[in-house]
Amino acid sequence: MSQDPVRQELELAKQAIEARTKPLSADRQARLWAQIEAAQSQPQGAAWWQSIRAFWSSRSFELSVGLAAAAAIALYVAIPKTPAAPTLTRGALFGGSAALSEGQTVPLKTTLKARAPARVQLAQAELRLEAGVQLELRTPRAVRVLSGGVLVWTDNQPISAQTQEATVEAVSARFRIARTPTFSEVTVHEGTVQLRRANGAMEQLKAPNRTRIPIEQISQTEPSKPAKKTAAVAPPAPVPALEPVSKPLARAPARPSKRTRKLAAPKAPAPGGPRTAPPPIAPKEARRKLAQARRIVRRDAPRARAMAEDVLDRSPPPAERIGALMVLADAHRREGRASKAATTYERVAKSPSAGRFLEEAILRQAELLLGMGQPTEAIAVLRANPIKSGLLAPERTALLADLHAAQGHPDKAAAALEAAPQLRAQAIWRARLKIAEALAPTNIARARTLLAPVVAHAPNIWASRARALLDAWAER
Amino acid sequence: MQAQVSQRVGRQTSGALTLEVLFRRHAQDVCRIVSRLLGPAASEADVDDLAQQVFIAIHKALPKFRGESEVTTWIYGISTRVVLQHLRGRRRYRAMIDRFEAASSFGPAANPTSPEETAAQRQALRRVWGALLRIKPERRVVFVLYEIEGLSAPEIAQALQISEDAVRSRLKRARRELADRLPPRKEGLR
Repeated sequence: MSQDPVRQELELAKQAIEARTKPLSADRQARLWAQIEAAQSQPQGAAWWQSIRAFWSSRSFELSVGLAAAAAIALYVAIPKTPAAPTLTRGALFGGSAALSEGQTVPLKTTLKARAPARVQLAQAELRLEAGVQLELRTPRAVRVLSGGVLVWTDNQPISAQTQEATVEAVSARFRIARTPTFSEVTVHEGTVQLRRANGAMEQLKAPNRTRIPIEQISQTEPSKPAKKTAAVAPPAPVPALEPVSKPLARAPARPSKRTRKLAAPKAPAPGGPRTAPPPIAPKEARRKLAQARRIVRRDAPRARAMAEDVLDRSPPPAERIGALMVLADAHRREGRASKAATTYERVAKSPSAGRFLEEAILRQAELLLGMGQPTEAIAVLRANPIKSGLLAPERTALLADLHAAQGHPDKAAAALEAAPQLRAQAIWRARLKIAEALAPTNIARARTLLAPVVAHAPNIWASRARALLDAWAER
Repeated sequence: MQAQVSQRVGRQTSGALTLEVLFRRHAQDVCRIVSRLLGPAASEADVDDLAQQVFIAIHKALPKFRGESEVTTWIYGISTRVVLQHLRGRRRYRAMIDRFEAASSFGPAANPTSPEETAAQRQALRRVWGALLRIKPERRVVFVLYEIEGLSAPEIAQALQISEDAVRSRLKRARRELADRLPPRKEGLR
């Protein structure tokens, strides 16, 4: 101990604090989680009304007329008043945009762009537009989301909401459909919807459910789209440009990649000879580069990918090699290259050095295979690597159960959940409810057994649904 | 083990970072941080309430989390902000000091099989926290994060989104105030 008396006292106080640090008991953890879930389910409505009020008082609703079309059928768009809402003010006209006023009719094929959250009434459906969404009104009962997200409420009339990757048809349901640069997503909050993917596959989604479709799925069915992307990385393209020194600069594509510049640089000393291999990378430098790549992969996936590729090119040690493959796979996934991402995750999963990345790699690969319409392959991946315990065991087990159920095997889905009775997590409670409902028509006893842990251990939001199902089945 | 898990989470991308995953991995950490920032007089209910607020704040901030820092650092920042906001109410703060001063002891040590807590430790705990509670909360949390949680100055700067100079300045002032406020001991330390 130091001689400073204050420091000595502090050291003693720290020891006392350490001695008092109790581990969080399972009961206390469960109680805390239940409180968090309950708190989460309450304030959203209030927060949404606050944002709507703020929107009406400050911003105008921007309507941009996209494709011109004869106004054969007008779409009646009404902005409903909230009980104490101020009068909607007209906005200014700019660049083909106009503000909506209440009750204004809007021609077909009109694109709505919302700067702030807004609500639009459509025939028998209500749309809640998130800030930044671009939405095309096609017919009184069909909308197309170009980017961003929209929550759809539909009464007893059908509505169709689509993106480029998915079409959702629903009656008496509440769902959210969104499109980002890398995927489309459908989240069902109430009721049942019909999802049709761009490749024609159809499935029914029942609440609660979230389904994500990577954008590359479209590229597999529309070959014209990926042609531009793959041509940029085709091996023959850079080779002719390497001969003269100045030509790569002159003929370089509009956005030469770092990889192209690196290939061009070392050619000068040996024009006819092979490219010299880069020196092996030191473990510390590899870790530093990978840490940087991980930090930026969300906002700049191409750059993160280039960094990971650079590390891989320089013969890193096994641990860093696996880390680089994971970053590479994440970057591919974020760029919408589902197939490449799945292949790279597979490389990680099969590597003896996978270590702590094994579980995540398996889960990611299975999710991507499912997104590519390959559920059988996804099942095979999950079953080939049965890690009993692990941080992502609930998600893996729930995904396996969902896959079996989607293929029409609720009994196999139930078996997957029964094989992991110790798992207690939101993903598991959701899966148990879904599979029990699917199993009930053919094996109600097993369905009841599947729900017993939900009633006994799950937070009330899940346990109450399980009890409702059991009550409904009590008469059988 | 915990450090390895946290490090791994820091490498994960957003898709796997849900609130539930974060809760499973970091509930223990959050409760520990909150209880240490509040002080030894905080009850389990206080800690749970604030931990709940921390996870709700985490849930709101999760879409904006870009992985620029490790997840643990990010969670430290959110926990600290929630606790500071809680302590800003003067009445609440006063009540906490009163409760601390009224407490004759802070309960038994968590692990009865560990070496018995010495009287000197208990006494030091009371003296140090009694002085710390009178230091401004912004300085106190930096002090606690540095001296008790063991974070480095750059980590604290990242967590609290302040400059490293600000961290060092607050730490220096907290130490000076602590030294000034600690009453002279009647008996010497071993």
